Formats: sequence, structure tokens, C-alpha cells
Amino acid sequence: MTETMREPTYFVLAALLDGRLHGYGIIKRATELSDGRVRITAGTLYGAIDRLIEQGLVAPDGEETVSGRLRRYYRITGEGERVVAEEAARLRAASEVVARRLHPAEAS
Amino acid sequence: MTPSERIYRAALAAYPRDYRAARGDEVLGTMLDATEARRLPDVREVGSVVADGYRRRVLASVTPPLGALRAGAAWAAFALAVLTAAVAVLGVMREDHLATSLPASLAPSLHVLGLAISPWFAAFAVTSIGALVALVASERRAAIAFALAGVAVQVWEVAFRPAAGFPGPTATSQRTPGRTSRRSRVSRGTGSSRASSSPPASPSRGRGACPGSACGSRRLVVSLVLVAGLALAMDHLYGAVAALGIVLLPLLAAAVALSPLDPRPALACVPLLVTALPLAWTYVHADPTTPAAGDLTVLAGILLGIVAFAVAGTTSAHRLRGGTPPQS
Repeated sequence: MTETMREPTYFVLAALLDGRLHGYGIIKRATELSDGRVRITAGTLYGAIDRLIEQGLVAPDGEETVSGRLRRYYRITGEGERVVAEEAARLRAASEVVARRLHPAEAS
Repeated sequence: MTPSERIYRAALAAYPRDYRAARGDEVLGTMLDATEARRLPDVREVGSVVADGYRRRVLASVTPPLGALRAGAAWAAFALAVLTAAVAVLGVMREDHLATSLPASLAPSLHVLGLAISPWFAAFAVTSIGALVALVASERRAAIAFALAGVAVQVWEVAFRPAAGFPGPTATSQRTPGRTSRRSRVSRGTGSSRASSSPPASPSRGRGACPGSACGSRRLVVSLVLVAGLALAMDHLYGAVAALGIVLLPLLAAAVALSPLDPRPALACVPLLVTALPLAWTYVHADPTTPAAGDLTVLAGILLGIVAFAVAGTTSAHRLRGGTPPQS
């Protein structure tokens, strides 16, 4: 993946690192992980999920029906873990650029 | 079924049929799970699903090699539809124009939030947006229905305002002396040119240029929307918004011509753009103290643009079809 990963996509992958989740589970987990900052809507979620499945970063993992609502589960693939780790490293490097300049003593 | 569920189900119609069949229940379940705590349906959820559905429809109809170009054009069409909606909201008529152009019985009902809004412009905005979005979403029959409704609105307006072509100069200047005189003269000019140019231009172009039904129907929609829009923009929104319309409508036509439905006569819009853009520039920079020259330039340019659009559409369609003559 050469292009920059969009934030909802990043948090979808991050949410799945803890194990398989269904659609709403991913939304809830992404909100928790971002301290309520990232609120993924259904349209955004399924747009991102289908793209991730296409790229082989996420795979469907079973389904169940709870009180009449269909829930499909998704899990992250090995390739997905690698890509999200890469993106995290990129973000860390980018944040350090600023941190080093604002607080030269602490960094290094 | 709760009201929220009903609205969410309706929003799922934005998805292409096969995607909806495969994933609709899952998406609906997630929407309901995510908004369980709410009493009212969540507008963000509905908006995101509609946008995602539209995106999938565009992607489903896009094929290489022009894929990226056409996808971009589809989004341009969508953005222009939104822009048209914005113009419709801003398409507030001056009180004097409304009073002179509408039967008294209609006028009072048109004051919304303290603004006097032209019902014709609102109707045009709704129909053209509908036609455009339906076209890009490959709902061809809906697009034709919307475009025909738009033309019907225009025809109705002409019928409703029989005096518009020949009002005495005193009739309008009595109401608001000064500023109205310029507008009323322009209204008269475009009113008559619209009445004479739009009905013959559109159907003949739609029938003659393209033997195939897909090509013909798309070009019919384009030309109907274009002609109705130009006439209306000139007639009702003489001023900065009309200039915007002159720029916007050719772009709209180009976007529609490039839309995923059928790309072949996309070249048709190039002459129109070439004509319209300098025209719009002239119009914007016209000296307001000598409006007559500006009016003539605009009218001539628009007519030239329409003719160029028709001619180029016909020839490029023929060439791309290997020179097959039209079967009418």
C-alpha cells in the first residue's frame, strides 16, 4: 500500500488487532481506541471493509443472527497486521519530527 | 418496523441491487446496532450509506481504459448536482420580478423563511438534480422522467406567463422604476428565444444523432437539461448567478456526457465548453452601463454553444460508431 492510509481504515485495522469483530463491534472498538474521536458510520465502515478484503488485509470470519439482525464477523490477516504496523511506524516517525523540535531535551 | 428502520431500509436503495441483496441485511443490522440509543434516525448514518451506495454504483459501471476519467466525471456530476441545489437555495427572486412574472394567486405561497423563491427555479433544480443523479446511477428511465418533467415545467411556465413575450414597457417599469427595466427587457428576449429554440432542438438531436437507445436517451436528457437550464438561468437569474449558470451548465453537460452510462459522444461537449467559457468571462466583465451589447453576446454565445453541442454530438457519435448513418 503506497498511498497514505485514511484514519477510519487505520482504526478499523487497529480494532481488529484484538480479535474478530462484527460491523458494529468494529465501530464501537474504533471509538474506544480513539477516545471517542473517530466515529465511523455504516457507509464508511463497509466501504473500508470491502476495500480491505479486496487488498487481503481483512477476511470475513463467520456470521450469526442476533435478535433478527445479521452480523458478519471480520478478522485481520497477517498481511493486514504487517500493513497496519508499517503505518503505525510511519505515524510514529512523523510525530517524532514535531516532538523533537518542540521539546529537544526530552526526545533523542 | 420502527421509523428509523424504515428510513434506513430506504437508504439502502442507494446500493446497486446485487450488493443490496448480498449485504443489505448486514449493513442495516449495523446501522440499527449503532443507533440503538437514539430515538430519531441518524442523518450521518443515512448520508454515509447513500454516499457509499452511489460510489459503488459508479465503480460498478466504470470500465477501463477511461475508467478513472469517467469516475471523476461521475463525481463531478454529483458535485454539480449539489452545487445546483445550493444555487436553488440561493435562487431567491427579487420581489418585483416575482410580482411581475407570477399570477397573484401563486405569489403569496412562495414566501419561505422571508425569502421569495421562484417555484420554476425550484422545480428546475429538483428535476435537473434528479436527472443528473439518476443518470450517473444508471437509472436511465428515472433520468428521462426527470428531464421530461423539467421541460414540462418550462413549457408550463411559458404557458402560465403569456404576456412575458410582449409586455408594454410601462407595465414593468411602473412597479419598480430603474432597476427593473434592464431585467424585464432581458426576460422578454430570452423568453421568446427559449420558446422557439428548445422544443425543436432537443427531440431532433435525441432521435437523429444516435440510433442506439442508450446513446439517444442520454443525449436527450443532456440536451433537455441544458436547454431548460440555460433558458431558465438567463430568464430568472440575470446577474452573477446567470454567469455561474453559463459556466456550470456546460460543465454539467460534459460531466454527464462522460458519465459511466455511455462515454462515446463525450467530445460533443468540448466545443460548448470552448464557446461558453470565454462567453462567461465576457459576461462577467461586461460593462453594466451598456447592457445591450452584453445581452447580445450572451444570447449569441448560448445559441452558438447549443448548435455546436448538437453538431459535435452528431458527428462524434457517427464517427465513433464507424460512420453508420442514423436510423430514424
